[in-house]
Amino acid sequence: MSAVAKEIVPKASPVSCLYHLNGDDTVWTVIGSLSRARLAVPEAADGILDVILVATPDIRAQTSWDGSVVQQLPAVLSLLEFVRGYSICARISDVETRLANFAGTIICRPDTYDRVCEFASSSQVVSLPDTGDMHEENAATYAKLEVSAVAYDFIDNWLTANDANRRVVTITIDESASDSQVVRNAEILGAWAKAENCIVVLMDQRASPSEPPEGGLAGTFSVVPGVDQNVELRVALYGRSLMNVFIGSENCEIALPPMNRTAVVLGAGVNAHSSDNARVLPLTAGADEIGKAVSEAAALALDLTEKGQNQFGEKQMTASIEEFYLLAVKFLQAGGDRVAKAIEILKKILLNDPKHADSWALLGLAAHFFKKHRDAEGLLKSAIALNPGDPAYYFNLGNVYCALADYPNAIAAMRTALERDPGLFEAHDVLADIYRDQKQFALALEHLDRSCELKEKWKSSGGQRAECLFALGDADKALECISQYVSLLSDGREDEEAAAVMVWPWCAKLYSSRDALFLDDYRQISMDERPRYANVE
Amino acid sequence: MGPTEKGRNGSCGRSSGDTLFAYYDLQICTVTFDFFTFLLRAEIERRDGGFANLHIVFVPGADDGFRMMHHDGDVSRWRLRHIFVAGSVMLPSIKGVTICESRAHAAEIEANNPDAVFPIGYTTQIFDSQAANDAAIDAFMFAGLAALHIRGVEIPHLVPSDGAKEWVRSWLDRRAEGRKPVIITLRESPHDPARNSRLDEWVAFAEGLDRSAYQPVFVRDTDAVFTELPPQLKYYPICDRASLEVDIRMALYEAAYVNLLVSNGPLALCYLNPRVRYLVFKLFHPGQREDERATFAVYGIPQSGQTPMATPFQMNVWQDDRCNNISEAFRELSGRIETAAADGALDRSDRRKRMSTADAIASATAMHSVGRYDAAASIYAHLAEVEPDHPDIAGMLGLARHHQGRGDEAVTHLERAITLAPANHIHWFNLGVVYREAGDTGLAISAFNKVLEIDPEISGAHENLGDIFAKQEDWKHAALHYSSVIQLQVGDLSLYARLARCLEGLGRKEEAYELYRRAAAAEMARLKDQEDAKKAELFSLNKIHVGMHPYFVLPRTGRDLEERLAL
Repeated sequence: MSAVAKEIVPKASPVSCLYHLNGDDTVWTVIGSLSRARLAVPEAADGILDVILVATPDIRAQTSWDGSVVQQLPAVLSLLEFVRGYSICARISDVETRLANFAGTIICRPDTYDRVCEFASSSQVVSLPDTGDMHEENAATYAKLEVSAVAYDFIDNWLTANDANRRVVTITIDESASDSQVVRNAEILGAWAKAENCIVVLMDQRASPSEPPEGGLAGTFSVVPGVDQNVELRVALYGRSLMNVFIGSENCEIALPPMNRTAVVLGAGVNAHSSDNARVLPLTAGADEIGKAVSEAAALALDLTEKGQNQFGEKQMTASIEEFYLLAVKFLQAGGDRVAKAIEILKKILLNDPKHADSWALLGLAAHFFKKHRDAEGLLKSAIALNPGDPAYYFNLGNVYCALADYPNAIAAMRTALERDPGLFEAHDVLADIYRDQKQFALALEHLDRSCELKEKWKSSGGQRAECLFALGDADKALECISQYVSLLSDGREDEEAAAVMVWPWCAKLYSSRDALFLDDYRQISMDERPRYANVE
Repeated sequence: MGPTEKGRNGSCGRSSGDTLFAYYDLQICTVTFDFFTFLLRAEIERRDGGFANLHIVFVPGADDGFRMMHHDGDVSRWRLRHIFVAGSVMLPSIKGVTICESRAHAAEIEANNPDAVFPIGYTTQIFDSQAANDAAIDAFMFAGLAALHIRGVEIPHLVPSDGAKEWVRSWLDRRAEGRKPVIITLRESPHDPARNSRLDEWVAFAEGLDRSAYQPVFVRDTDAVFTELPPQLKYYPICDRASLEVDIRMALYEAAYVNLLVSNGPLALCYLNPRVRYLVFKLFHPGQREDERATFAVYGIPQSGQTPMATPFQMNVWQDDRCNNISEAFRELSGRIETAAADGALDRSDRRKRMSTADAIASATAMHSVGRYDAAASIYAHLAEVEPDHPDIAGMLGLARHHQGRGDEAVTHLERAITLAPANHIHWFNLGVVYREAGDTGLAISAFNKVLEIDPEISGAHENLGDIFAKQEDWKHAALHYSSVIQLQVGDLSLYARLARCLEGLGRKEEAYELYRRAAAAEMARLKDQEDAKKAELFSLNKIHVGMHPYFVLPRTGRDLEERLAL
């Protein structure tokens, strides 16, 4: 017989959960059951090592109201932070050996408890209560859902493309509602949303997904790709909406306790665990009643937002300027269309905190990338005025001057950067480049050597050093330098090969040309490369 | 049912269970559509090893669960869920999937099923085993699958689920209304946008189609599905679900009259399903011709050639995606389809054809040229059995064995090639290379001299002889050979350096210095050009490369920031 988890599992041990799906399961019952599994033993608070979902008789044949539950399982599990690894398989026998050798706690459903006890003799086996009374449970039972950044990115892109931020109301239709009820309620809600200048997204698993509704509802609703089938996207949309409306019982479970968004629920099945943010009405409620509930819910949502609270009623987690700044850096590094977002974030930071020097500097760097060098100069100087101590500002300013061919100012900026941070080898590199361009080879060599010393990269700078030495007329030293690399290479010492390649890219050919893969190709390659070296010949 | 004794490649009788565990090691393997190649390789092993079922095990890598990532971690995890796990339904023998919490978790599964491991030679303890690394790499490379096909092994294919097929049928019925659906898959990525579909050209093609016969349908890039719909597409059906669900995508591709696309990730689905008729364009873009050539060579596709497993209704079109190119290729393929339909042969159109010897050699050579030595060698060996007197096959097999590190066999095959074609200097040359690598200097010198006897202008032979003599500090002979190469005008800068070294050895320091100086100056000029090009590229990407480029330092000097961003 099953036992009460907390009484029989006194020791710390890894936890697996064997969950045998049956025909009644939906993605929401799986979430609910796994949430309860996490609470079944104290050890599971650190995460469930391996959630094993058994979907019989065939992994391809498991379907339910939302298409294939099995195909949705990876997405479902991704929402549950405590799930650390998982398996989806067709038979319990597929995992018997694994569980038999598992030294820890196995949580399972009551109907598989006896069987698991038989083969998993070295484990503690704990049975979950059945799911029949889930609706009676406390909201705290449900795990908070973690939506991936990718899902939020997708939804945010859609909201931006449709100019729909903070104006989306979702309506989710469940199979328990009849057609006439659905149409009637959806029409009422659609009319309300239109009057309120909201965008309504309808999710309906019963009809062909992603199809705009036909008949009287045509033109009322927007379609967000993927939200009908993909639970991650759907939850992300719930999270970004002003309000979510549920017609029927099942889906509200995902949006109420775990997300705790402001909601209106039309239908049975939501009672004890409904949150304060939900308005619950019968499916047969009148239009006025529904309109009133929706208006109240919308007002509540807007009120909470304006108070700086989220819809949990908690203090809203405001990202710090530091976090926004790091986000801007990430966007800049991502490149492409993210650069515009980064610039937008930086500008917002400066609206809130005009003395945020790093943001001025990063905007300067962005301007530099867009070749707006004079703008970049001004922005970086603003950063320097606010914080004259950061060497990076001077370094980047120096680069801006290089781009403007203003070498005296570039040199001055680089030198200041080095005063602030003598370890900034990049500044030595740039100075060496500038001096080389200006034929001041002694100074170039000095900075090159300093850079090599700091970075321990003498091998990779040999080429530049040799050039300076040649130019300074120290042929013996230059020759010695080159011979050293060439002889390292011709000795075939692999550990030196990379260094030699770095020194003289053409030394790589010294090595590889020993082996002619295909002679014709080899000849062709040589011919192709010949013009490059025409000035030598 | 348990495994039988008919297993191949050492798989005989190796398990007491009926499930083959296929490990996709994310420390080594990519989070790309190449995964489906891995699935088919595993399926072949399951079938030939006599296992009833497959169980796919995803083994986490060291970098946030993946190998050194080219995608953000969240993106990789999304792909893992929505492409890999969801796509596993397309192989009916898969009865289970495990995403391991740790490598130890995977090791535990391996320990419980030690005789049912795919790839053969793989172990979760890859850090201790080069062979395991090689096995993991080989199993997801298309080259291995293509090599099996060329060797006559029947290749299974991916099958969309019944649910997906039914949904697609219903979706298309309402839009195509009896017309032939022409599916156009777009690439709209912010990454490497030069490879994207030329939208205006595709729309022009769609507009030019006879709408009484064809219904164009667009499938947008997954990344673009949530962005604003380009106005040109407003009046065409868009199948967003195919962009998000790989099973639906495959069902749509199967249901299409013809699929049209540019080279992109989902192309792998077309390659791996003979029921999908396709035309693929823009297999390279002009700026990266060599890179792209290498990419397709990995697939065993020679320049301007077709995929080894392609049916007559699957075509690589080595042209840009311009409207006239698309229209012309479409006319040709639809002509083939209609002819086959009139002959009643369309139902058999998904049967893959055996390749001719010439095509097989071309395909193997393509793989060989990009380092897929095992796959290439397996094809050459197969062809050598069929045509033992073909000198090129013997010669290429010898060269492949050399690259596999099997020098003795290399010599045997190259000598066989020389016996069959004694006047072909290439076989002598390669024999010389093999001897030289083996340290048989005398034999190497003889072989290279033989090359020069046949054709005195083979500069590579002079170069090798120069290197051999230089190693022996026979500066005079070395200098003569290096000079010959330079006179033949096929040398590169390194030859000047090597000649200079000889001159140093001969005490002619002034001449040596002059050679070095000229070489260095030219190289510096080239490096400067490269550097300028790199800077230009960075500007065009609008992207900051922390730690990759010395000329930008982020505030707070960038380096600590790098750690905080976990880059």
